[in-house]
Amino acid sequence: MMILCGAHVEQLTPLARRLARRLRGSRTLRWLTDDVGVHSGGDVSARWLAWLVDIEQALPGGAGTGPISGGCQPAQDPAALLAVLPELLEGAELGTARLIVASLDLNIAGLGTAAAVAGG
Amino acid sequence: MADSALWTVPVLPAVLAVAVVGTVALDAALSARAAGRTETVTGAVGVPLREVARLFVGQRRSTTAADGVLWRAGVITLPVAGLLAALVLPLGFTSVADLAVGVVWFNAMEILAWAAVWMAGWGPNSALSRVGGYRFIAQGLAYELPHMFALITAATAAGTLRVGGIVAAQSGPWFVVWMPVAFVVYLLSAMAMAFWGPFDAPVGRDVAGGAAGELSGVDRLLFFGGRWLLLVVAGAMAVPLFLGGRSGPLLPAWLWTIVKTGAVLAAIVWVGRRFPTVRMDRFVEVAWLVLIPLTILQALVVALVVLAR
Repeated sequence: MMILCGAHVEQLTPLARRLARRLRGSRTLRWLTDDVGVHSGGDVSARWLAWLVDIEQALPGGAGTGPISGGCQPAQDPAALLAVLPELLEGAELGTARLIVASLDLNIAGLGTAAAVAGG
Repeated sequence: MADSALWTVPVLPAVLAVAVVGTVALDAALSARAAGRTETVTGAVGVPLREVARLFVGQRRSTTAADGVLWRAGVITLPVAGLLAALVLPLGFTSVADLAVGVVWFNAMEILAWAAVWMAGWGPNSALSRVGGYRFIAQGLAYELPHMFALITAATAAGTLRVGGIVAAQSGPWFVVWMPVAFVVYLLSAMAMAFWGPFDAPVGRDVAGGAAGELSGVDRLLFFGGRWLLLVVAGAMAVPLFLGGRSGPLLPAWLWTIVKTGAVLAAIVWVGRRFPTVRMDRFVEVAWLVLIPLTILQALVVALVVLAR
């Protein structure tokens, strides 16, 4: 979502809405991500559904123009997520593991200092 | 009555090659259409032929500390398995060898693909290739049992393991009419064994090509040629097993075989492109909790019908 910061709303809004509708409508996608990486009450499906909500909230309701401003903040505290990651990944197949890591949306910029603190 | 003849020995590889080129061309045409281009027939047929030429002259790469023997053995086994499985495939009235244990032979040759893909994945000493190889083993554990039950159902109804006998037993209604579950499961598992469509995780993009990731040049040609061959042979086998083989009105036997095989292959290619890759840890649940009970039930129904006749 950080990538979309500054993109033009009038171009992006219809594309984003169509994408969100398509993803929500895909039973296969839901089936593939349900019950994967359950963490703080949500699985991978719940997390990507929440992203869709975030994206749609970032889009203005009317026919606004100009750059996107909302939804450009980083997600959760990366250090806390990093701590639960090994447990979540235990026994996961590589494809599943990638889904879990991606769904946690770890902020890599913050990770450097967090890892240094943990290591030091 | 089906029999075997010597002329089929040179004809079979040629027929299979044409079928493989046709199938890959259809896939290329559908790819082009999905990308918003229209592909002419000659353009689509040119895709596999150009790819063959490119891979033939391409440089073969190797990796550090690769297990060369195992790697090459795996790569070669895949097309060989496809070809051997095709020996019992009837071309109209005749097959290269109409073995008394034809169905078992066919199944045994298919299972060589397990070893082939695993060896091709293990050989290059590369982590992602190895993941691909093991994914195929997991896939095999999911699709193979339903597949075997589907095969056994057709053999039970015919009372023989001879493929010619199974075709002969469908002079009445085709097997697909009274064993639709077995037919659908058979087609699903045919796609899974050729790691095609939703079952392409062993060579998936998320593991950089998986078992095929380190293959180049002739090795890649053999591996993917073998993969398409396996898909074509497994799809073509659905015709004698469930679709009445050569039988049909008006047209000659060989033409019916071609028409039905073409229809099955087109369906497989289309369905394969329609669905995203399914992870095996998900599909294995479906396979064991839904498909195996369904195919057992199907076999039971068919067995009861056979007993009552």
